[in-house]
Amino acid sequence: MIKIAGKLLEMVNLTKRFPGVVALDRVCFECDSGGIYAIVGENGAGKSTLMNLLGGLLVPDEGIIKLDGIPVVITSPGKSFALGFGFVHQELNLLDNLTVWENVFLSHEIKGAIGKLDKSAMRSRILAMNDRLGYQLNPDALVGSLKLADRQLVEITRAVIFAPRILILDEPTAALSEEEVIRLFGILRSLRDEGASIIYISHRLEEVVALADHVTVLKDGRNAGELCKAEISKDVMINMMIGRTLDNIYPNRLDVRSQETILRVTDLIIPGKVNGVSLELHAGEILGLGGLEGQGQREFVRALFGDIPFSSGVVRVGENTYTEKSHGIPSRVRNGIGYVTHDRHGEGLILHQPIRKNMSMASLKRFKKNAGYLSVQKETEVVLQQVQRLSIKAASIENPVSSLSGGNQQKVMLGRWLMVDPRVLIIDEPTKGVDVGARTSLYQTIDVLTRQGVAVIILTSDMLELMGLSDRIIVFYEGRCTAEIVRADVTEERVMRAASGLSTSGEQTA
Amino acid sequence: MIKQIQISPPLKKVLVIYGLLATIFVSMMVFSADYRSIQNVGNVLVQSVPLAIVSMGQMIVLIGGGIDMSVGAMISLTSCIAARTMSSVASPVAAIGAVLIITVSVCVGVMNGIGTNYGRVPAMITTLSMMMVLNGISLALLPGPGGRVDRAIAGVIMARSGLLSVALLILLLVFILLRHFLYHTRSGVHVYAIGKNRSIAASMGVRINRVSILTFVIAAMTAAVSGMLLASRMRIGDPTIGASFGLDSITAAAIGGTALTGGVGLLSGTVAGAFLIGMLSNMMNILGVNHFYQYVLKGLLLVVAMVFYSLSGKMGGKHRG
Amino acid sequence: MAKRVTLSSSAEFAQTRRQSIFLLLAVFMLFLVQGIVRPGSVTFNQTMNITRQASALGVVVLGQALVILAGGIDLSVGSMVTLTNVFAVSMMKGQDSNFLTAALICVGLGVVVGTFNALGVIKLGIAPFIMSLCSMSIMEGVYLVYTGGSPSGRVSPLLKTIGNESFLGKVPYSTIIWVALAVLIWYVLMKTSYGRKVFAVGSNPTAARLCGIRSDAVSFSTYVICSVLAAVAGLLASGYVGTTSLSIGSDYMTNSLAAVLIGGNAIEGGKGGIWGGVLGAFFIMLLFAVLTMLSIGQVGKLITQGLIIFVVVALQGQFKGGRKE
Repeated sequence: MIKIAGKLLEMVNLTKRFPGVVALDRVCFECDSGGIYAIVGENGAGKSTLMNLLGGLLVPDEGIIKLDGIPVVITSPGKSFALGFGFVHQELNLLDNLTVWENVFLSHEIKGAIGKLDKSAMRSRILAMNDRLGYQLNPDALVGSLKLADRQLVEITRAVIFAPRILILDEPTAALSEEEVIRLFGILRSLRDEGASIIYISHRLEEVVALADHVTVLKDGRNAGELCKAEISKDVMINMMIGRTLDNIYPNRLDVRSQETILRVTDLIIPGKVNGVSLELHAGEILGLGGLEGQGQREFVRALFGDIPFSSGVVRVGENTYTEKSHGIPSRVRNGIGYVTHDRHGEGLILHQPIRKNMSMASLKRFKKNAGYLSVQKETEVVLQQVQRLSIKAASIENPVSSLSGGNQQKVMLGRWLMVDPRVLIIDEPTKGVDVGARTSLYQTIDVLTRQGVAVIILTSDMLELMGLSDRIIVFYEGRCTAEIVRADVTEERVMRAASGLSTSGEQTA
Repeated sequence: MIKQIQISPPLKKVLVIYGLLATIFVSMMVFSADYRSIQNVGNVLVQSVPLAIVSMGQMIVLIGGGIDMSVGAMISLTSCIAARTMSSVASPVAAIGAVLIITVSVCVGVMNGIGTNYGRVPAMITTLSMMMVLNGISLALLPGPGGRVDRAIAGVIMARSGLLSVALLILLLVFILLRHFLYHTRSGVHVYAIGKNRSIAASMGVRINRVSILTFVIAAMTAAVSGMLLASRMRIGDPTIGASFGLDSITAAAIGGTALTGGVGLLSGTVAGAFLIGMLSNMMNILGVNHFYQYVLKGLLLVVAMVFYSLSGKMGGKHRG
Repeated sequence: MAKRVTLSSSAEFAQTRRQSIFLLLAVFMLFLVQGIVRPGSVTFNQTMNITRQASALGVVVLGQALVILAGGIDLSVGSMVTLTNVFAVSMMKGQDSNFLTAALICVGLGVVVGTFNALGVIKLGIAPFIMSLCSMSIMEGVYLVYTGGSPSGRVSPLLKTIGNESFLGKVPYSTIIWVALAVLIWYVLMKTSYGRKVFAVGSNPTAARLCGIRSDAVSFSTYVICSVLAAVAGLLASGYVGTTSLSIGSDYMTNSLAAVLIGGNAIEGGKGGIWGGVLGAFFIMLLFAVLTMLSIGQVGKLITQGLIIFVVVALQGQFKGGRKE
C-alpha cells in the first residue's frame, strides 16, 4: 500500500494521544508534487489532527515525518512555513482588524530600505495573484468587512503567495456557492499543474470524486483505505469511512407520521439575513435545515430562540406568540424552546466549570428553594439521571467539562436542554467534532426524544447527516427557503441544487 | 493612488473629535477676550503636550492588548532624576542624568513586558506593582518637590514664541516617529495583530512576547519624555507630579478612539483626546468657574466619547490617523 | 457512579484554594517576620487591630470581587469612599442624631453611583474600566466642588466608636461588620442561584444568555452592590480615621484590585471566591504594619508592596499549571 520511494512528503506511523482518546493510531500518509491528495473521513476520524501535525500546532507522540526523504520535526507554525507548507484552515485564521495585505504578509512582510514596509510591493504581489488565480481582492480592504468567501480567498492567497511546495486545505468549500467552488477547483488544478502538491480534506465526497488524484480514507484515527484515481467512487469511500451501511447509523424513522403542528413561523424577516421565511414544525418531527453556510439558517433559528431580533414576522409555539417586539430568551426557555449552539466552546459550555453546573445552567429554577438557595443535592440527583440517560462517560460530575471528549461535551449540552423539558429543540451542528461512537448514541437520543413528542430542528453542514436524520428538509439560499423535501424524495442532488439557488426541477428560482 | 484616499469610517471619527476640539476652541475664543490672547492659547498648547506624548505611548500598549498603569510613576521618576542631576548644564552629571533617564525607561518597559508576558501576571498587576516601586524610588530621590533643573536646559525645552514652542515641536517629532512605527514597520502591524487576537497572531508567526515588550518600552520612553518636559516647565522635580497621568493617558486614548480590548487605535485621535483634557483646566479658569469642575467634565467627556463610539458602529477596524 | 460531593471538594475551586493556601503561607511568613522584629508583638489583640484597619478595605474588596467575578471592574471605589466620607462627615456635624440620616444618604449615593456605572456598561456598552474611570472622575469633581478643597464637619461619636472600639473589648466592631458582610456575600455567591449566575456571566456571558440567564441584570446588580459596599466602607473608614479628608480613599482602588487578584480571582472573571480577597485585604494591611515596624519609610513601603504583590501573583500563576497565555 505505501511505496518506499522518495516522495515529497511521507508521514509514517504517526500516533497522537490526548487525554482519554487516541486521535491518530499509526497513521501513514504520503503525497508527491503535481497531485491533489484528498483525505476523507467522518467527524473525529483524525483528519484535522493529522494536518495540525504538519502545521506545527501539534507534535506527534510517535512516528516520523519526512520531506524529500529526510526526517523533519515541525515544532511551530513558523517552522512549518519555512519547510514549505501552506495552510488554509477550516476555521479561518485571520485578523479582522487588519487589511488584506497585512494578513497575507503577516510575519513575512516585505521590507524596503531601512526596514520600512514596502507596501506597494506587497499590494502588487496580491494584485498579481488576483490575476493569476482569477479573483478580485482589494489589498487595502479590512478583512473584517469581507464576506466569508472572500475571507477564504485571503487565506488562500496567504497560503499560496509564498509558493509552498505543499498546500493543505481543510474543508474549504463549506461556505462556497457552486460557482465559487468551481473557481476554487480551477485554482487548485492550475496550482497542481504547476507542480504543487495539494492535500485536500473534505466531507464532500462528490467534490473529492471530481478533484482528487488520490484518496486516503481515515476511520477512528486509523488508515482505512487508499484509492487511486480510477478507483475513486463515493460508495467505496463511504464504505471505507463507515465500515457499515448508512442504515445502521441513523435511526429508522420510516414509521414516523406527521402529528399536530407545534411551531408555526410566518414571514420572518431579518434585514440582510432572512427574507421572509415561513415554516411549520410538527410534534415528534425532525426538521433539517440545509443549505450552504451563511445563508440565513443560523440567524433564523436564533431569531426563533429570541437571541437575534427580527424586524417582522410571527412565531407561534403552542399558545405563545412572539412578534418582533417580544425579545428575550428567558421567556422562550420558560415556554419550552431550547437551543443547542454549534459553538460549544465559545458560547455553549463553561469549560472550567464542572459537568454538574454546565448541565443545570438553563434550569436553575428547578433547584431553587426559599430565599434563592440552590439545592445542590437535588441538582446532583437530576444531573446524574441525565448523565445515565445519555451515557455520558465521566468519572465524576464534578470534573470540569474540559476533561470530556467532544462527543461527551455535546451530550452535556444536550442534557442541559433536556433538563428544561423542551417542546421544541433546536440543535445546531449536532455532531461537530464528535467521534463516531458518540454520534450514533446522540442520534438515538434525538430519535427517542421525538418519540416522546418533542419537535427537533437540526442544522448541519454534513449532507449525510442531514439526509439521514431529517424527516423533512428545508433548504436555505440567500435568506429564503428554496425547497422543502420530505424524506422519501430526498436526493443529494436535489438538496445541492436548492442550496445553490436552483430549483429542484432545473430552473433558477427567482 | 488618489482613489485610496477615501474618508474611511475610522477617519470620520477622528474628524469628529477634532471638530469637537475646534468648536470648543472657537467658542472660547469668541466668548472670552482673555482666551483670545496668543499667550493663553500658546499656554494651553504647551501644557497639553506632556499628556499628549505619554498618551500616545499608552495607546500603543492598549492597541497591543495590554495596559500600563505605571506611566505616571515613570513621569515622576524622570522629573526626580532630572532635578537631581541637571542642576548645572556644565556638569557631566547632567549628561549622566540624561543617559540614566533613557536607560531606566527602557529597563522599566522591558520589566513590565517580561512580567506580563513571561511571568503570566496580568498587565494591570505588573504595571501597578511597577508603579508602586517607581513611586518609592522617586520618593527616595526626592522626598518632596525639590532639586533643580538648570535654566539653560529648561530654557531650551520651554522656549516659546507666540503660538509655537519647542514643546510642540517635540510633540510633532514623537508623533512622526510613532506614526512611522505603527504604519511603516512590521512591528507596528504586529502590535495591532497581537491586540486583536494573541493566539491567532502567534499561529500566524508573530512573535507575540517581543512585540508586547516593545509596546511597554515605548510607553515608558514616552513617559520619560513627558517627565522631562514637566521637569523643565517646573524647573524642579516632584515625586508625585505624574500621579494623574496614568489614568489620564488611558482616558485620552479612549476619547481618541482606542479600544481597551486592543487591536484598534488612532494616533491623532489620542492627541486630540489629550488636548481636550488639557483644555478643560484652562477653560475653567477663564470662565471663572470653580476649577474643580474640570474633573466632572473630564468624566462626562469620556462618557460622551464612549457613547459616540459605540453608536457609530463596532470598532472592528484598524484605525489609522 | 459519582458520589454526592460537596462544593468545597469540587475540582473547580481547587486552583482558588491552592492560591489561598499560598496566600496563607505568605501571611504566616509575615507573622514570623513580625515576631522576629518585635518579639512578643504577635498577639490576638495586635492581630485584631490589623483586622480593624483592614475592615474598610475588606468591605470594598467584597464588592470589587463580586464585580470582577461577573466580568467587570470598578475603579471608582476609592472615590466612593472619599465621597461618602466628605458627605457623611459634613452631614453628621458631630451628632449621633444625624448619624442614621447621613449613613442612609450615603448608602443611597452608593446605589446612585452603582446604577450610573451599570447603565454605562450595560446600556451604553462602555467598557467597565472606562465607565468606572469616568464616574471616579466625576465623583472627584463633585466632592472637590462641594468642599471647595477644604472639607469640614465632624464625625459622630457613634461612628467613631464603631470604628475604634471592640466588642467586649476583644473583637473590633468594624471587623464584626466586615466578617458579617463577608459571610452574607459568600452565602449569596456560593449558595444561591444568583451567585451561580454571577459565575456564569463572568465566565461566558453569551453562554449564560443563551441559557436564559439575564446576564444584563446580573451584571447590573454587581455594580450597584459594589458601590453600596464602598459607601459602607467609607463610613467605616470615617469612623476609624475620625475625621474628613480628601485623600482618605486614595489607595482603595489599587489595594482592592491587588487584594482581589492576590486572593486568587481571575481578572477576566468567572473564577475565584470571596475569602481569598478577604485574606488578601488582611495581608496587605499586615504587610503595611510589618513594614512600619521595620521602620521602613514610605519609600521602602512602596517598593516592597509593589514587589511583593507582583511576586505573589507571579508565583500563583506558576501553580496554575502549564497553561500558555
